Amino acid sequence: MKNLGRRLLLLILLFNVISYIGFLVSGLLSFPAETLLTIYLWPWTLTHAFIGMVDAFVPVTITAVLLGLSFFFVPAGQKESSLNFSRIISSSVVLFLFLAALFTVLEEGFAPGQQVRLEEFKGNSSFAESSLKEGDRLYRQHRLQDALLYYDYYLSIDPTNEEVRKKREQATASLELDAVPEQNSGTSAQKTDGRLHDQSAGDLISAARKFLSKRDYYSAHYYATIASQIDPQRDDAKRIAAEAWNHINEAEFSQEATAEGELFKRKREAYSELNRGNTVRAYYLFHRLLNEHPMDADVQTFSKVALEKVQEDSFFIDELEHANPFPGRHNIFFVNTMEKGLRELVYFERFIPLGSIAYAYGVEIMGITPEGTVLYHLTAPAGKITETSGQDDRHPADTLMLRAIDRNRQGISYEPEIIQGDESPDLTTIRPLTPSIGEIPGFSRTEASLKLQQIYQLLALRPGYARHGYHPANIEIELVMRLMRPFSLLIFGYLSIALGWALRGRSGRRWYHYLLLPVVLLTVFQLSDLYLYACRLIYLYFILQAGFTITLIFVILIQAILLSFSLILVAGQSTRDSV
Amino acid sequence: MPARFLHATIRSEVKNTLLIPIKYLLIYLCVGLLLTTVLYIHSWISNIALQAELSWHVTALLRSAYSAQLPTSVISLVILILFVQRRRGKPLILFIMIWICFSGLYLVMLNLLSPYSPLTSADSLPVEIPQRIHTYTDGSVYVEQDFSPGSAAVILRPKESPHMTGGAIDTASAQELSMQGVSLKREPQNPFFNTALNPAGILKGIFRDFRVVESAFAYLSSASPSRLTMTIAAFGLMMTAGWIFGRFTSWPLLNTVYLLFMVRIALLFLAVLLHPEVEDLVASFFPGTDMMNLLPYLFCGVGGLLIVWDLLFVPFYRESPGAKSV
Repeated sequence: MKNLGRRLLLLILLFNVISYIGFLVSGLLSFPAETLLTIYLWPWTLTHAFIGMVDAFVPVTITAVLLGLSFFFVPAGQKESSLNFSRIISSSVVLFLFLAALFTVLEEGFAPGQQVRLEEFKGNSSFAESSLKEGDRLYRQHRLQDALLYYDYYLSIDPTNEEVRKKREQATASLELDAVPEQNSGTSAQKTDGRLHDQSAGDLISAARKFLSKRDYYSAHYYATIASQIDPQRDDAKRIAAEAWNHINEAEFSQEATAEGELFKRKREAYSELNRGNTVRAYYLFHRLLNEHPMDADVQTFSKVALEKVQEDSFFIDELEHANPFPGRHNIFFVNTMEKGLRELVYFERFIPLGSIAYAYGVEIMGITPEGTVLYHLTAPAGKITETSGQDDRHPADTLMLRAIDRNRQGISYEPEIIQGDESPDLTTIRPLTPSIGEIPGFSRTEASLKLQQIYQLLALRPGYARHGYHPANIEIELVMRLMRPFSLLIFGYLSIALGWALRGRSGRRWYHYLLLPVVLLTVFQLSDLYLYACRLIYLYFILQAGFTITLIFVILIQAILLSFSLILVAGQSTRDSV
Repeated sequence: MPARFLHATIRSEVKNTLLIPIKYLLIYLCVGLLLTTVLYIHSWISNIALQAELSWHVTALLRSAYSAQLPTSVISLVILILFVQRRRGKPLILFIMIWICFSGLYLVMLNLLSPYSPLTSADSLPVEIPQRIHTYTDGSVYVEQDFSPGSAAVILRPKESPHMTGGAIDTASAQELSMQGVSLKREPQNPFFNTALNPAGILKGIFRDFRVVESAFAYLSSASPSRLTMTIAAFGLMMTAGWIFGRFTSWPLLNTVYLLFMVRIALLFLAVLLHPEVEDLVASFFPGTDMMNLLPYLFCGVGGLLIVWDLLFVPFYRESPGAKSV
């Protein structure tokens, strides 16, 4: 019975562990199977339990202290009493300072990240569901290549789904079957061969002469050979075949000489495309050249230039696949531009920030006049955001690219689609964005999205929040409540010491008292909710009336008064029952 | 017991008894001020876009004060009972003093504030702020000026494709707006401070029950002052008789929790009785019966039972180790 502080700490830890287990069980029972994929059962439950435990840390701790001092510790006047009030105070003051620090670390350091995980599970499940729907729709339309992309999106989130895997395999098989007719040209060539043998030698020789005049030596030789096979007496057939063969041999001997010329021609063509500004075509030409002639200095130099140029207004489809597994935010909606005559609104279905770049899925942009005329409305399956150097209102913070191309295969790309308006196609691929990559997650319309941000992110978001269509008071009240909660733990911790001591049991514990302990916890929870609700209302009023700075001063003042009051209550307790 | 000790004890008991109205009034003022302020702030934030004159604020304050009377009375009663448990006094006199304070002050305040009515959720108007994104349950709306027809707006509905629709508003009501064949429900009414205005689940139930009971008393106040007086007096009897829960066990903390639960159960029970479906059910068994007429008898009955229980089973003082404990 010596170290009361340690016993109190153990009791508090025990209560919080029980709280964690309680949230774990409630999470398992209330898992939202309709909106989340089943692979998220345990990750969601564990995350939900941790967040629940942190949210309930204050009322659970207060309950532990209340019950510890009023029930668990042996009442005064009996043998082995441990309730020496002066010793309670000295150890409890230090204990609560430690708990307040611990709570701050949990609430600010870990809880927002875990909230992001919960939102990510929800968003990923929704994204997977919409990808599967889109994939099925494209499959029914026999757009197999596009359907594969969406099935791959789904499988990147839930690789264990056998049904979707089978669908993907079916789509791949169908795609391969569609490609088979090209391979069957050999068969058709055999059929052609058969058909050629049905023709007369004279016709074949005429055709061979025509091919010879066109310098198609291989075809000329082929037709002449068949004519000779049909009619071995035709010397002209043999002559044409021999002549064609001579030409073929000459070409092989001068292949080395013509090879360089060919390379030069191709380099010149690619370089011309680059100069004309057809960066995508130039990129693919140089890309092919680089594969065939990797040691050529010109090809090395200009393929890099072409890559840089193409990356100025496009990005690669495989970048989206690499970004997919990272956590992101969903349902981002904000006002991008508010100028005279133009309001531009931007929506991202999903947004994944990765430092100085970010990727957006399901992009939609609309420009409208203050009178209600839609100037433009476009959508794009995906976009890439890169930071620019400008950070003020006149110079956008980011650039949004809406065109994605395949890294190796020409002709496969995602382009923005214009739904309404006369927007020039060239202008739709690059859009300036005024908020920075760090600010954009704060514009999620998902409920309680600000809870996912840490304090320093909220502070960074605050200046530009109103400019992008949102009310700044939402951020300010969130900041105030976050700053207030550790103080609440201190205040109510000391208050619970005073109340626990004042309301301690007089005549020992009964067995049914243990059954009634959850009732105390429930009451403390409700009172705690009531206190937080009242604080939120009052502080929001001050923010709306007097501004953020004055409200902060007011909050600190109130917390100081309440803390003093609770300490005075503790000091005013009777110590008659000291041992 | 020596005479001087007896004299001191009696003096102490008389002092404690006489101080009850003063204590109750002080507690009532503090709690009433706090609750009125919070309710007024709630009303102001709910109607934040309203360009209100001073008269609106004064009316809102008085209506908030009206809405705060019942919770103030109940909370003050609980606090007073907790104070009384720790003091000596004659139980019967203490009981009568508390009953008169509770019922009397509540009745006086209701009569003073009778020109006004309690605040209801219907009093708040849909909030509209120009050049802001209003986030509703099913989507969002950016509005250039307001929600009047012809005003430029962009509706976002994440579950539809395409997600955005832009143009001028066709029609807008407090519940819905529509534009170019696309409509969106305006729920919640205040899309900016929803978290601040809507409490957690259990609290919502408590506030709802308070509103139901005070609406019933407000109705009586306008219908018949004599019925109101009778009902409030009976209600006060029942609530005061609930003071036995503050002495139920030898564990004061648990007794406090019992008191709070007693209040909660009483309110819940009343709210259920005043529910239209229950009233219809009672009327179907007892045609022509008005639940409001039955309330005083119900209160007196429950209060009487609690008093009998108190007299027979629950000791007033538990300080001596030999006292009977439950």
